[in-house]
This record gives sequence, C-alpha cells and structure tokens, in this order.
Amino acid sequence: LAHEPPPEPAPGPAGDFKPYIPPEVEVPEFTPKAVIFGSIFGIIFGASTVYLALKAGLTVSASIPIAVLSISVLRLFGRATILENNIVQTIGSAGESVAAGVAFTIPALIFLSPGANGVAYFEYLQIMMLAATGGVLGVLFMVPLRRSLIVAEHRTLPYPEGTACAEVLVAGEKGGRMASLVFGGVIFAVIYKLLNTVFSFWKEAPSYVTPRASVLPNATVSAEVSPEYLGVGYILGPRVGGIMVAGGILSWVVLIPLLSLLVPETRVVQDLAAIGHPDATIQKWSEPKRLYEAYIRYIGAGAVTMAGIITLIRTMPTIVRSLRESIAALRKREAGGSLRTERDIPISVVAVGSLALALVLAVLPILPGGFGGKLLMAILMLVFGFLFVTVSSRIVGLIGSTSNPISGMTIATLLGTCLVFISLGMGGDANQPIALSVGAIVCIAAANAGATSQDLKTGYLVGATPIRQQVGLVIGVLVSTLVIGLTIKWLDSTYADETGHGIGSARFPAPQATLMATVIKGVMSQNLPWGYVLVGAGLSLMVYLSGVSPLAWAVGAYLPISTTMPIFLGGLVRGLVDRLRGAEAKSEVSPGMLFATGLVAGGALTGIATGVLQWIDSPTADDPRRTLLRAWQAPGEHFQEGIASSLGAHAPDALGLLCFAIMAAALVGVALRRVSVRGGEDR
Amino acid sequence: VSEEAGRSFTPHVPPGESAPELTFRAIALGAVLGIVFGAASTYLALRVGITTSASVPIAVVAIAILKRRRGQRAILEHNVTQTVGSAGESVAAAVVFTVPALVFLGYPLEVGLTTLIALTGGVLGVLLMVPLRRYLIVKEHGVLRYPEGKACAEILIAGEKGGTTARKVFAGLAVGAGFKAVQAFLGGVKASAGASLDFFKGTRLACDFEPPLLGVGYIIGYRTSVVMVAGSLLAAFVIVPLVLLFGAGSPPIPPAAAAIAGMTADDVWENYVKHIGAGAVAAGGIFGLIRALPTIGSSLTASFRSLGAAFGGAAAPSTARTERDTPLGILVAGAIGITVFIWLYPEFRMNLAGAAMVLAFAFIFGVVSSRITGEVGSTSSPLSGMTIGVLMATCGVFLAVGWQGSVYSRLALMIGAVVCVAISNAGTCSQDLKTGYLVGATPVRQQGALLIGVLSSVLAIGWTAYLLNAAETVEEPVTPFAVAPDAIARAEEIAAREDGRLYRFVRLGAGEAPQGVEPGNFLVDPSTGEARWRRSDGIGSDRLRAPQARLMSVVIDGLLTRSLPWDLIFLGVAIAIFIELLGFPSLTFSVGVYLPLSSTMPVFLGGLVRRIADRRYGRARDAEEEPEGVLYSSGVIAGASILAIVAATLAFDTERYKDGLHTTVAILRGIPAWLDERLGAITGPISLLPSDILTFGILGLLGYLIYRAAAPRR
Repeated sequence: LAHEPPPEPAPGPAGDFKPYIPPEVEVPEFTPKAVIFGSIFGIIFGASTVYLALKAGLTVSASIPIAVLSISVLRLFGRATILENNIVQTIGSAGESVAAGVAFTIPALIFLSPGANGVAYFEYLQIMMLAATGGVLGVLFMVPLRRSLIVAEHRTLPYPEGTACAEVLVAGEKGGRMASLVFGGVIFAVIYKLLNTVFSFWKEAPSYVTPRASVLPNATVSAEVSPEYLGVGYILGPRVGGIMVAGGILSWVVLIPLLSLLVPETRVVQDLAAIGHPDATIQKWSEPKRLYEAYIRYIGAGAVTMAGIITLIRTMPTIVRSLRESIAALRKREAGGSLRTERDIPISVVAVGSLALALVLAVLPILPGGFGGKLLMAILMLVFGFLFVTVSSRIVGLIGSTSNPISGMTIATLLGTCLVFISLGMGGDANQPIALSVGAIVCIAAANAGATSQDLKTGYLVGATPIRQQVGLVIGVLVSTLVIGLTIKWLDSTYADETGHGIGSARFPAPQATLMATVIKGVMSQNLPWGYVLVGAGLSLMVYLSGVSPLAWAVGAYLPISTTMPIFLGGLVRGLVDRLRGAEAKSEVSPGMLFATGLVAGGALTGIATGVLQWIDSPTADDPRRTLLRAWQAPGEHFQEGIASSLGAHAPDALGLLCFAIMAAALVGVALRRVSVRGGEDR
Repeated sequence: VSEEAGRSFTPHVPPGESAPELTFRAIALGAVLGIVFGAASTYLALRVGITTSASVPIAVVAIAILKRRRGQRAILEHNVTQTVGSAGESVAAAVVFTVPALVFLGYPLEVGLTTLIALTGGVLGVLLMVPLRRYLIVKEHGVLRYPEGKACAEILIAGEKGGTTARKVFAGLAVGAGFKAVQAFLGGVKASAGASLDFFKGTRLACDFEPPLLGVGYIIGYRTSVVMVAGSLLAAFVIVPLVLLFGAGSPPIPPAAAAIAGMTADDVWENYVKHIGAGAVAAGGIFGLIRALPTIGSSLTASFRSLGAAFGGAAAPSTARTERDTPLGILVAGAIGITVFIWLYPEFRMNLAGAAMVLAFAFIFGVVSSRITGEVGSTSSPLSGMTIGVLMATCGVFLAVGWQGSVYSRLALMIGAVVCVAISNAGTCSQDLKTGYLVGATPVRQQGALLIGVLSSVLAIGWTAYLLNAAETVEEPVTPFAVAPDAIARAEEIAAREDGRLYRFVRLGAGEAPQGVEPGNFLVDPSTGEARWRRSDGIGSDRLRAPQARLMSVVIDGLLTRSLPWDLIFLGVAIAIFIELLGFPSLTFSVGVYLPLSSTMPVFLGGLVRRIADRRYGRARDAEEEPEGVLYSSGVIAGASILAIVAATLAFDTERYKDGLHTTVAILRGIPAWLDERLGAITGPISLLPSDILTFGILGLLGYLIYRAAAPRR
C-alpha cells in the first residue's frame, strides 16, 4: 500500500456532467404518491432505527433499502418515475438519520446527575421539539453547502451510499440485468442473514481473544460476518478499510493488551463503577470489553474529537468558499433563470428559517433553562450546528454515512458547550439539560446533514430538482419525529426495570447516550478523564502528521474491531477484484458495486426485520412468550454446539469465517462477470 | 554515457588510452575522506540508524583538489579517490547495524573485534565482487542501472569539463563544523532544547542541537523524515503518558522492579518503551524482508543462471586494459585465508561450521545485494532485511543442531555481522565498479583501491564506535550480590572505567537478576563472584540508540535464548502491523518509535527544510537528482559529525580534558545561563527556558542556510 497524498480537488466544477434525467426534461417528481410512501417508509425505518440504536448502538443507512422498496412498491400503483422513487427514498431516509441522532443523545437526559432533573424533560413533546429542530436545521444548513460539496467536488467526494442509491434507482428503472444484480445481492444477503441471525447456523461475530496469561493479553480480533459490512467495505475499498482497521488494531491489539499489563483487573472494575456502570453489567462483560468501556472509549473519543477538529481546520477553506458562494448567489437574485437541477431553497428562507427556529427555542417554556440559558442554547446550537453539519456532510462524502463519527462530533459540541457555560459561570447540575439539548440538536442536525448530503448526491446523479428534495427532506423530518419520540418513550416505559426506566437497562444500554451523559457530568463537575482524551488526541495528531486521513482512522479506533475488520475484508475483496479486472474496474457502476449495494440493502433490511421480529416476540430472554425465535434458533445453536464439541471450541468461529469467505467469493464471482455496463454516470 | 549493451560499449576513457590512476595522491585523499565519512557514518548510524551515500560528495571534492598534471587527464584518479573513500560509509553502516548488538546480548564492545569484523567482512565483499563484475556490470550493462554508480560517473565526467564545484561541500563542512563547535566546544548553545507540556503529564517536546541530523533529514526527504518523527511521537506522546497514567496505581510491573508511580518519562522508556520499540523495529525489519523476498529470489535465480551459463561457456578474458581483473588465484587464496582467519582468530570464538556459514551466506547474499543495488539503488537496498535473513537462517541451523544459549547468540551475531559488512560492501563495490566501467577505469586497480578503502577506514570505524560508546557509558555501584557461576564463566573480561580493575561483563536477564534488581549488564568480580557495578553502555542510551543493532539482538535473543519481555515485544509487533495497515514502511516508523523524540525532531526539521526548498525552487518532491542541497547537507553531516566525535572523545577522558574544556574553551557557556537568569523561565501550559528558544533559533538559522544553499545554480 504505497502512501499517496490526499488527492487535489478536481479543477473547476464538473461542468460536463450529465445527470440521468437531463435538466431540460420535466417528469413527475413531487407527487402525493411519492410523499405518502416516503413518509410511511420514514416512520417504519425511524422506529426500527431507534430500536437498534438503543439496543446495539448501531444504525444502518436506510436510503438504499427504501429505494429498493420504493421501486417495487410504486410500480404496483401505476408507472413511477425515477425522480418519484428518489423523493420516496429522500423523505424516508430522513427518518433513519434523525432517529439515530435522537437515540444517541436524548436518552442521556435519564443518565444526568440527579440534581439536573433531566427526567423532567424526557417527555414526548420535548423530544419531538428537539428532534424536529435538529432535523430541520440539518436540512437548512445543507442548502448552501450543496453547491460546493455535491456539485463542485463531484469528483473528489464519492458519497458511497448516495452513489450506490443512485445506482439502485437507475438499475431499478432500466430493469433487466442491472436490477437483477442488486436484487441478487439483496436475496443473497437476506438468506445469509436469516440463516445467520434468525436460525443461528453460524456465529454472528467470530472472535478470538488471547488469554490473560498470554504474551499479548486480551488482544481481540473479531469480525461481524454480516453482508452489509462486506458490501460497505467493498464500496469503500482497501485503502480506507485498511486505515479504519488500523485504528481497530491499535485499540484492540495494542492498547487493550498494554492496559491489561498496566492496570489490575480490580481497578478496571472500580473505574467502571465510578463511571456509573451497574455492577451486574460489569460482571457480564469480558475483560477486553471492560477495558474498552473504561478507557478505550475515551481515548477513541479523544481521537475522534481531535480528528474532527483537524478535519474542520482542513476543510475551513471549503467552508469559507461555500459560504462566500452562497452569499454571492444571494446577491445575484437570478432565481428564475437557472436550470431545473440547480434550483435550491432560497438562501433568505434558510437564514430566516434558522433564526426563527432559534427564536422559538429561546422562548419555548417546555425546554430547560431560563430565557438567558435558552438564548445561549439557541446561539450555540446555530454555531455548532453549522460547524458540524459542514463537517458531517463532507465526511460522509469521503467515507460514507456508515462511518460517520456522529458521536465524536457530539462530544466535541458538548465539550465546547460546557466550557462556554463554565466560563460564563453557568456550571453545575441545573444547566446540564441545556448543554445536552445543544448536543442533541447538533447531533441530530449533523446526522441528518449526512443523510441529506447522500440524498442530494443521489438526486444530483439522477437529475432531481434540489428544492423539491429539500422540501421532501423537511417533510420527512417532521413526519418521522412524530413517531420517534413515541417509540423512545414507549420502549422506556414498557421495559422499565427497578430503576423505572427501560433505557439504561441491559436490554437497551444506549451506549452513545451513556457516553454523552458522562461527558457532560465530567466537564460540569470537572472530572473528565482528560489524560485518556489527550492520549487519543495525540494519536490522531500523529496519524495526521504521517499524511493519513485521521478521521477514518480515529473512527476505526473508536468502533469495535468486529465492525472494522469485516469492512477491511470487504475492502480487500475490492482490491482483489480491481487487480483482476485491471483498468476497467474504475467504473462506479460495476457488477461488483451493484451486488455489494444489494448485500448492504439486504443485510440492513433483514437486520431491521429481525429487530422487529424480536420486538414482536417478547421483551426478555427468559420470557415464556419468547417461543418463536427460540424455536427457530434452537436447531442452529444445537448444530453449533455439535461442531464445537466434535471439532474443537473454535470450530463455530471458523465456520462463521468460512461462510463469510463463501459470500466474499460470490461477490468476487459476480464482480468479475463481463456485463455491459451503461449507467447514467459521467466518466 | 552509452546505454547500449556491453559488447559495443566504449567507456569515457577508451581502453587504448592510459592515464594516471592508482597514484599516491589519489589514494591518500581517498583514505582521508574515507576516514572522515566512515567516522561520520558511524556516528549517524549509531545515533539515528541512517547513513547517507558518500560517493558523490567525495567525487566532487576529488575533482576540486586533484587537478590534471603534465597535461594528463585526472578522471581515473578521481575515480580511485571516490572508490577508496566510499568504502568507509558502507562498511560503517553495516558495522553499526550489527556489532553493537554485542552490548545488547551481554558482551563488551571492543575496538579490536569491531575492527576485525569490519576488515574481514569488507575484504570478503570486495573479493566477492571480483568474479561477479564480469556478469553483473559488464554483461548486464543495459539491464542493471546501478543508479548511484551512474550518477557518480556523470559527476566525474562533468567534472572533467569543469561542470562541478565542490564549493557547496566545503561550505557545508565549514558551516556544520562551525555550528557544532559553538555548541560542543564553546558552549554557546545547549545540546538539547525542549519544552515541557505541563497539561500532559510525562510529555516533553525535545530537539537535540545536532547539525548532522538536520543534514540527514534534508537528504532522506520530507516523507521519510515525517514517518520517522511520527513514530517518536507515538512513543513520547502516547505510550509514555499512557503508561504513566494507567500504571500510576499499579504494583511494580515486570520487567521493572519499581512501581510506575515513582517513574519519570525516561524510566518508562528504559523499562517498557525500549522493548516495545525493539519489537516494532524487529517486526518492521521482518516485514521489510518479506517484501524484499520476491526481489531476492528473482535476483538470485537470474544471477546464478548467468553465472552457470558463463562457466559452461568458458569465457576467454580479453587483455584490454578495462578488462583486467584481479587474478582468480589471489581471490581463492584470499577467501580461504579470510575464512581460516575467522575460524582460528580467538576473538571471534568461531568454529569451522560458523566460518563456513560466513562464506556461504556472504556469497549468496553478496550476489543478491549487488544485483538489488543495480536494480533499485543502494538507498533502497534492504540491508537490514537481508541481515535478518542471515541471522534467522543461522539461528535455524543452530536450533536444528541444538545450539542454544548466550554463547551461540554471540556466535550467530559474529556470523551475521561479518556477512552484513560483506554484503553491504558488495553493494557499494558494485556501484563503484559500475562507475569505473562507465568512465573506463582498470578493474584490477579499482579492486586494489577498494581493498585500500576498507583497510584505511576500518580502524576509524572501530575507534569511533568504541569511543562514542565509552563516552556515554555509565557505571554505578550496586549493593554486591552473588551471580551464578556459569554466567560468570561464559562472560568476557573488561576493565571497569571507574576503578580500572578487571571484571567479568555479565548480562542478567529478566529471570536471572535477583528480586528487586533491575535486569541489565553488570561487572562481576571473578574472585568473589559478586556483582559490583551496574554498567550502562553508551550504546543503547539516549544519544546512541543503535536501532538496527537492537533489531538484530531481538531476533537472535528471540530465537536462541528466548529471554525477552515477550509481552512488550509483541506490543511492538502489533504496532508495526498497525503501521503496515496504514500504508507506511513500518521499519522507518518503528525506528522512530525506538529513537528518542529529541533525535528524530532535528531529522524532521531537515525534512521540513527539504519540503520548503522543493516547493520554493519548483522541484519534484524529494527528487533524487538534486545536487545543491544534498551536497551542502553532506558537507554539514561530515563536518559536524567529526566535531561531535571529537567532542565526545574529549569529554570521555574526564581526567585530562573535561575541566580544562570548561574553564578555557567553553567561553560562550555563560550565554544560555545568562539568558535564563535574566529573562526567567516561561511557564504555563508549555514551559521552557529562554535558552531553549535560543537553541531552536540557531537550529532554525542552520535550516535557513541549508535552504539557501539548495537554491539552483544559475
């Protein structure tokens, strides 16, 4: 892997680019049918995302599954254009990203200091208000950024999910073999994932942990052998995959063994308890997991924060330029003359809308704080919101929404907010909910900006009308927030344990929200583990100095290695295919990419469906009602135990890897097929 | 210079024309320069594990000094000078990459042995290249480029037409020597400047005042130097604070005997980071070997194929001047003589099998080295990788016959060291012979010159290594404790520096030292069997880390004695894997992890100067063909290194020189102290002294001078 400096921006905008539907052509786009189905999908995916994010701290991008669904569903209601399908996925995907942002932050209200009385604000109306504000801000702030990030940097920012989604839309309309590649991937992934997660025929995450007494104690290598990671890795490629897994290796094979040598186990447990993890949870965790929760998480957070700041500094010129461009466009006022594919929401609407949102927040009585506190909150929200929307939209352009370090940016926001509060003498418990509100809005805005940029990229490729997409996004946000708040409240009360809350229990650990609450409590009461955070920052700085994009790396250091490893393996598959295919592999609409996209979509859909299935089935594992899944999983688990007893303890792990290898081989096989590829792509 | 195949090639000086070649003045100048660059390379390699090519600067100086006499062209004399002179650098690099591992394996570093290793290896390399010349240089003339040899020939030919100037080298020499003198002799600048980051416990941003390292950084370029300093940042800004932070409440963690809570950053390095860095360097070297394996394999097969064809065809040597080689009889006698010498000379403690292995490995890897330098150039030749290969093969044989333990570690190192010197010198010889081939030198005379080059530089190298080590060596008294008799029996005798008595030099590993005593090297009184002194050799200390030698010792220890702190070593290995995944060459990075930040920082500053200069003067980034700045930097390196060695030597002999130096010579030493007293320390999140700023400033001035010197000639 020869090191190359980051590519220089392409000279000038992609002037010769031709979208799939040319600007001169008018086709039905913003139809009632599209808006209704988009809203329905947004609600479904928003609710499922809340569930998954609270449960596993993971979310999956919804654009592609929605696009695939949209193509087949809209067809049932008569002819549908590609732009209608695009509106459906645009509206629908807003729900997923807003839900992720909400689930990562708002439950932290429960975890704040007792004196903060955060629970008082953990109510439906407040949650909806925060979610809607953040979501709409994300959309509005992306309006001026579209020209610089999506249009001007068309060649330098790949926006993998957005591009993949456009391919799905184009393939769906053209029908024939292109769609069959996508659907083939979907079907393969669905079968694979069903056998894997519902029927448990092989392990979901084969892993190997070295024993405590070995020379490299507690070193962990693990891979969640799921189709979506293979597909995402394939889409990202070996370079980014390598950088990400390098971060994972540093965390799990260097730092965790080092900490195992340095820190006695009893102290780890004490430190975990001091952070606020319940004893029962700590006892359940393995040693590497404890070290991860107690220390690596903060080092990773420090790394992500530093990397985010570095990225922010490096993208400053782009930010300034795009701002200047937006202002220049505002002065010109030639709205009528531009092409259909260049019509954005007017910048004046953006400005007035953002200010109005801020003003509403400042006077709304249901939110925490007095008028001064709320005004400060509104100002900070605008400042950090714009900052991280910019960063987020650029990052997802580079490495994809799946790897967007939303929590890192939220931590940065929280740190900044808390420091401002403290410097104004507003520290203390009472102001914790205000700080969290800022963090939540910024997090939701940044998450939604990521999804929005992917949608706008998709729209740019297929030839959508930006203003219609932007309005669709606002609708998507508003509709999904109605359900997201409901889902959270409902899960929290339905599964409440002795503490009175379901969220925070073993069933819904809400890892990111725990982290946010910790940061706020730490800074407000001045006991954040700065040492850990600085170590992470030093790591990011080192990686940056060496000329590697620190953000992809830092995210890798922060994520579990079971996530980065399969992504890396997917990247290796891509590297292999590129080598075998030679020069023609450069095309972005290759059979491999389409199949990989299908794998991502199928894996995600099945993951969500399984989540829903589990939710229907029963609340707790010991519940007698939990019969359906148990019955389904029993034969597979029995099979795994069988091979473990006859072939050795690591046999199920090996089997899992073997299945992953078979899937990878299928991907290679498809990718090497000679299909005449004629997408609506620019070359 | 013609690029056509060997047969129709006419050299610059045709075979029919004869010119003065192996003259006294050419040899004398070459020997002097060889000693200078050999000593400088020894210093650099010990300090940061890098050496820079000496051929071109020596050629340029030779052209400037040796003018034509009686109307006869002097180009062949120039060639002899650079041939004699360049041997010093290649032998020095190989010696420093291997021999200091003696200290790490628990044996003293002596002048005699070091010199003999350099001598036997160097001569072996020259002898080896005699028969190979015909095949690699002549037959494959159009195939193997030998970039450094070709560049040197171009310099020599341009010099005949008056197209070169040695002004840059001489200016660099003067400036480098001047800057170093201000620090080392006059005391006007501190030896190391630093700033502590008080908000981040255990971290310090440090930079040694070392003009040669700035020059090295300029020559190796920005990319390499930044990867290296990133390694040091990982050690200094991540691992050390991490250990201090997390280990604060823990009981003593082996291999240290004391708790981390009471440790300084230096203690943490000594006890933990050293081993992590060593593991990383070893893994980086092995990855380098793995990457080079395809090339090694292909060059080996290609060479033997052409050799086999040649023996079958019974080539008839022509009698032209440019085709006269050293006679085969002398070669065979020489090779056998060297082997027997290695076998029988007591200092080597070699057996016949070991001597035979030296000959076999030297031949195999000599062929490879010569061919690889022909393909990719000396700078990219995987010397340490091939030496690791030799060591692994040697240790493999040892393990197969059941030879394990400390004595065989030393034997393996002896084999590896001689072979390393031989293959390093074989590469340099090939470049020189290519140069000679292009300018029309007489091979037999050049081969003589190569031998003279080895002979003249080895003493300088041996003494430099010894004196530098001695200057930094520290002996501390320990509470006497008994040492196992067998450890004493296998140990070597050495005179203590503190009391001058003879002791046994014993290494006690992690399991061998008694409770509460940190592992290390000890001086044991043979009459009582008790350890008296803890001896910390200069090699391995902050200023002479000798990274490649550490690598070799880890490989040998790992295979033969297996008494390594494996957990820390494997952490280093994992770091090397992490770096490979990021897409860098992990050896460079790992050397950075192992070196102190204060050593890599000046290298990085040099690289930064290169980047600014390349940008300003519109050159390609880190391009190889860049005469001005590189020549100037070579001069800086040579001038400043020699003064550094002299300074270290003088400081070493405390009885005679140290006090005198401080009272009479170091007339400027009051300046830093006066500044600090006058202006007071700067505190805050970053704390430093005004004298630190002064030191940084003067280093910056040197950087500016290099930048100025790199301007293209009009």
